[in-house]
Amino acid sequence: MASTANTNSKDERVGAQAPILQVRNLSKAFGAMLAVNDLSFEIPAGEVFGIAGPNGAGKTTVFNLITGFLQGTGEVRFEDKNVTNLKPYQICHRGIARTLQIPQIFSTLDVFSNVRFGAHFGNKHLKDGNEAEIIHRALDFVGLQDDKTAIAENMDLFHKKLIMIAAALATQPRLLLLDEPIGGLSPAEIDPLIKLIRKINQEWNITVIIIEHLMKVLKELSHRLMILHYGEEIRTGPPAEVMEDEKVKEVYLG
Amino acid sequence: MKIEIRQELIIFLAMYLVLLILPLFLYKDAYVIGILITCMVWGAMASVWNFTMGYAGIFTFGQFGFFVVAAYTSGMVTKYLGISPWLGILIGGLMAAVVGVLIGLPCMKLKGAYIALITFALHLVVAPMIKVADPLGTGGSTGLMSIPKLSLGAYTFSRTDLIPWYYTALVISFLVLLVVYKTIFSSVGLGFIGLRDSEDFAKTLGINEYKYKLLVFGLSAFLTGIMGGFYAHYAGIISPRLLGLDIFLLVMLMMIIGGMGIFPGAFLGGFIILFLNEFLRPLEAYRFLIFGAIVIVAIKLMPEGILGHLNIFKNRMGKRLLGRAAEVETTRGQNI
Repeated sequence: MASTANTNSKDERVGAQAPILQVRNLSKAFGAMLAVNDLSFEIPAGEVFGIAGPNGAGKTTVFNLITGFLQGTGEVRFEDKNVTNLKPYQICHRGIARTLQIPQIFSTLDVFSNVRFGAHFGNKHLKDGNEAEIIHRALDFVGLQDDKTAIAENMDLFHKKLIMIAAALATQPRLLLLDEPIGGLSPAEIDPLIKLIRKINQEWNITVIIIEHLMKVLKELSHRLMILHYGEEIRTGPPAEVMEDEKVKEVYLG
Repeated sequence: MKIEIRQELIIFLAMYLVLLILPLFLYKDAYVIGILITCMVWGAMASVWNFTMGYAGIFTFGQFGFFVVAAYTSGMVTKYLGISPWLGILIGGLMAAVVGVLIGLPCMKLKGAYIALITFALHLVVAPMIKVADPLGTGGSTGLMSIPKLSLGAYTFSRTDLIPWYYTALVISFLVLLVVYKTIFSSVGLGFIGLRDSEDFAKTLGINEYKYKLLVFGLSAFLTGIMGGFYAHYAGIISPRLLGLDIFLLVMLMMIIGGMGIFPGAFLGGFIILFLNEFLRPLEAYRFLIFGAIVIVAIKLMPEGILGHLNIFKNRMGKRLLGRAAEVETTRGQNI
């Protein structure tokens, strides 16, 4: 694990990196409603990219289109390869992991098995000997080592979110999509999670896209922020600039 | 290296140890030996059903279809083509697996009750097909008769001595349950259980859900078919009546009473239900009335089945299926 300098500031050099994800003219309609409308964006490797917008703006739909849960039109390229409309498991094997907005875990299995699932099925080239190592590394990293034998459904919301993140990390992704990871947490739990996400980005060198409602969190975490409204991009840029944008204030922050 | 001995394995092996020595005391009682053979056949079948429904969470009602397809396949290839019954049982199992995969294909995109409907359609369609295929030698509605007996070397099994049948049923059902046990606690089982608990989470973690679901259909049909093939040679005569509702319900009760999603509950349930059935036989017409009442009381008192009620598995996987399904319904379709 390449550890970067212990800093809380965002690395300003990421903009120079080649894009890890390219989304071109992505659209998805549910009946007459355009959930995502001709959306294009690029994310350089190493970035934390925030997505925000009012309810129904199409944020989760964008994640579902990238990860193969929904089929749409347009093109998604990951590491310069076309991954448009692949199946979810194929997307995972390519190196894109995600968490779900409403925490879903394997409730009857223990925490260890939840994480093992990711290491076993999500990691195509993993040799058996390394599986335990990967699982323990993920458990250690999110701080679930002491709870590894607990049944997942008995864990609280915060720990369920950690289980999802640990399992996603066990697939050894290069891009991680987090769908409202902070939602429903108490103020005391938010801070450790923000720190964790930053460490995922900086210490594990994983590019992160994060959907979130709390602007404070996005401001703190993301290098760039995109505001969606009715499936269209309103504004993309550094959080401070985006939040000063008149149109963003009108449709979302106002 | 730490060797983990699971309680499931201890109960499973203990039951077979008892079955192994039971004939020492009962060898003169052909009636009880006969019931025990039936218990092993239906108990193993209920265990495979529980594997599909309780562990993999796939609501299949086509198990009797697989059983009967295999029984007829084995019965007919041995009777008409002179193939060894041992090989016939294997061919029957493979035929059932093919049918299992074929019926699994339209179920891939379906969930819950819809899978139950499609698989039950198989159950319903097999009996008319057997009747229609009478000219091919199925025996029509009277049934397929004079199915060759098993033989070992120069010895041919007969109905006058049930002990060889007993130990054959013991070995075959043991192997079937061993495959179920091994699968449940392997990484393949991890895949099944993960897909049952949360299909979406499982998909994000890289499982090919189509491959795994088809595997469940194929494997459960194959194992059920092996029991069906054995049954054909043991009974000597099979008919579409095997697809009647009474035995269907009995096997389902074995699974529920034994404990759904808890290995080897369904196998234990097989003995409880069939001996209860025999015990109540003198009641004749009132039998099913009393039977039904006992079942209702038992389910009320022990909704997780006997092994679940004893709570020896610390609720490890013995999650009640109905509670599970309700939970899935409430989380499904919310922004994913």
